[in-house]
Amino acid sequence: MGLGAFVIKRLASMILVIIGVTLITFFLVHLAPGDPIRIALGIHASGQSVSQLEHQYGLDQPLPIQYLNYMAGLVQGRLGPSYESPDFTVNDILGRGLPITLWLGLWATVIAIVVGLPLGVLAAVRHNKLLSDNLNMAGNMILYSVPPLLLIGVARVIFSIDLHWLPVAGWNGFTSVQYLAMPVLIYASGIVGFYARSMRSFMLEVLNQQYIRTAKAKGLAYWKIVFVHAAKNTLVPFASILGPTIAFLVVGAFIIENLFNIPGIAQITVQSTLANDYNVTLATTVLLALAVVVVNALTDIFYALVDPRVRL
Amino acid sequence: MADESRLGAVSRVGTSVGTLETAVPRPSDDSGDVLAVPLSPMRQAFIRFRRNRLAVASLIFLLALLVLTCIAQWLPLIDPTVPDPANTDAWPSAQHLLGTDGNGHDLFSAMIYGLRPAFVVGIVGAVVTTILGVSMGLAAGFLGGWVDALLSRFTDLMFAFPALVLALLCEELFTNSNSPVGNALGDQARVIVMTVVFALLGWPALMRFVRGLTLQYKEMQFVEAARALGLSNWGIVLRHLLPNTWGLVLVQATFTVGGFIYTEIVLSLLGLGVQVPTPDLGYLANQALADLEINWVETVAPSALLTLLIVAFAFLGDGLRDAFDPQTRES
Repeated sequence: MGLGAFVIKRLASMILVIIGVTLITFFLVHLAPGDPIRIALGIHASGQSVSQLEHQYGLDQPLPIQYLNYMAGLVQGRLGPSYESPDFTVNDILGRGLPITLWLGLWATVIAIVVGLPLGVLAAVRHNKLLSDNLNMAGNMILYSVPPLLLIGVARVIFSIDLHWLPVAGWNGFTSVQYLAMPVLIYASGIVGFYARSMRSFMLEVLNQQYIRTAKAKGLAYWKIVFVHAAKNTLVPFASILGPTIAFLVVGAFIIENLFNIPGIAQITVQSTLANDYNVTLATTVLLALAVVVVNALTDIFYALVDPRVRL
Repeated sequence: MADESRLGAVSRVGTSVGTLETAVPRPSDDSGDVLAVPLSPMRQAFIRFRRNRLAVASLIFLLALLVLTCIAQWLPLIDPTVPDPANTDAWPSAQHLLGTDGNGHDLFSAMIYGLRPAFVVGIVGAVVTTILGVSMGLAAGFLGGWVDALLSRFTDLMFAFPALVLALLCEELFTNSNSPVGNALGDQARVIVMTVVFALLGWPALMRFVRGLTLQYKEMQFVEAARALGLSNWGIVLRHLLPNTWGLVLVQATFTVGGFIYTEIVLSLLGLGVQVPTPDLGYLANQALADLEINWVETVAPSALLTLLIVAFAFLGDGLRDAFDPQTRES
């Protein structure tokens, strides 16, 4: 199979998965008890106004037709109205939340790369040294496995309540370092530990290869061996941790946004679920699934690019 | 260090072989070859596991917590559902070992009772999801053809599903006051729905893993030999393939328990987990975050216990992996 054919096949299966996700979520949401319109209008709404609104939103049609209508809208990028706040479409609501979530995720990933990868390289290069490997990795193990909840509790006691350096929670725009510092650092902490531990094992594996010994034997500077010869070859195994990174970021977003009261996608998802604002929940679920599926597809395509055996 | 411990493992196998000598008749050629004495892979793994102090300590710790929370109602603990209005947000004292929460519930006993939802969701969910994943993986890998294609595509679909979001959705849909499911299940609805959802969503990684192992083993000579002897497909799967995957499946299942407990906590944080009056660690820690300024023990103590729980499952999983699959252990 050529690379082009592999990419097409991979993208086709990606689209199938997205259709499956929308199908399951759509029917789950619509078959469940609880009428979103009645809930949105309140218990005192007349039957007439409920059925009028239901007709307007197309909710009086059979479910399969509703699903097709929804999918037709989805393809054109229209995600439908919000039942809870009729003045806004779902696109408006997601448009407000998405940049915030992406901004937090971006900074968490940048910090993980800038801090985690060098720590991993250090541990591999100075393998089995007390400070640079053992203590370094013990610290990263703690970062990786301690749930954010404990970090948040401890960080708030120290930095907000005792020292009054940082606010307890809240969102104050994209550039407010004071408000962003605690959520972003706690968001990043788990990924830092994950990246450092992964990088160490990738690097150790590469450094044990014959060609590294050859490079050493011909008198190449050690830093050049590590950063030029070895680093390049850690890229391939590194692609395998992109998927887990996205999973980490998604779950982390739910914790961070809800505990720090940040109005991103994850908080919108929880609030819309609690408010039975089905169109919003449906849209955020599809969006999160899309993120996971696209990253997995890109990872596979990357593998196919660097390793032709995968295409078989 | 790794090399030493590996040498140690060999010599340890040697000594335990020595103790077996009396029970197992030695082969007559007496070559002194350790491999000549039959020692099942399970037993070898057990011996390797026993040498890993961290993993054994984690196992003992987890078993102790499990027993403690199971027998909690017979222990001299203060009932965690009865508040002590005179002592709200109290600091640790002789009467309340870890103090009380904002309503005056005893924190220490609430934490012990609060382990129950975590253990139920984690262990029951992981057992069910493991059975699902293993059977689907075996079926897909062994039968191949359209069964494999169908199951693999279905797994891709479930793998991409944001499980947390679906769990969130199901918690809300099936446990609200309008839901017949929620009303039928009563107080424990949330724990039950959560366990079911996790069990139904947790298997894709395991399925892929077992499918891969099955594809690999299927081509090996022992399967060919079994087939040549006339064993049926069922016999091959149950007697030859399944036992060979056990160890590695156990490792995955251990990590799954830790993962489910973590997700249970996240749902509690979002207000969709276990609710009062049932005590729950995640709920306790989350509620107390608001009272952080008054008494930080209320949130730090339950979240520290949660951390220990999750870390212990991770160490246990690592230890089991090193024991069952020594080749992949980190150098």
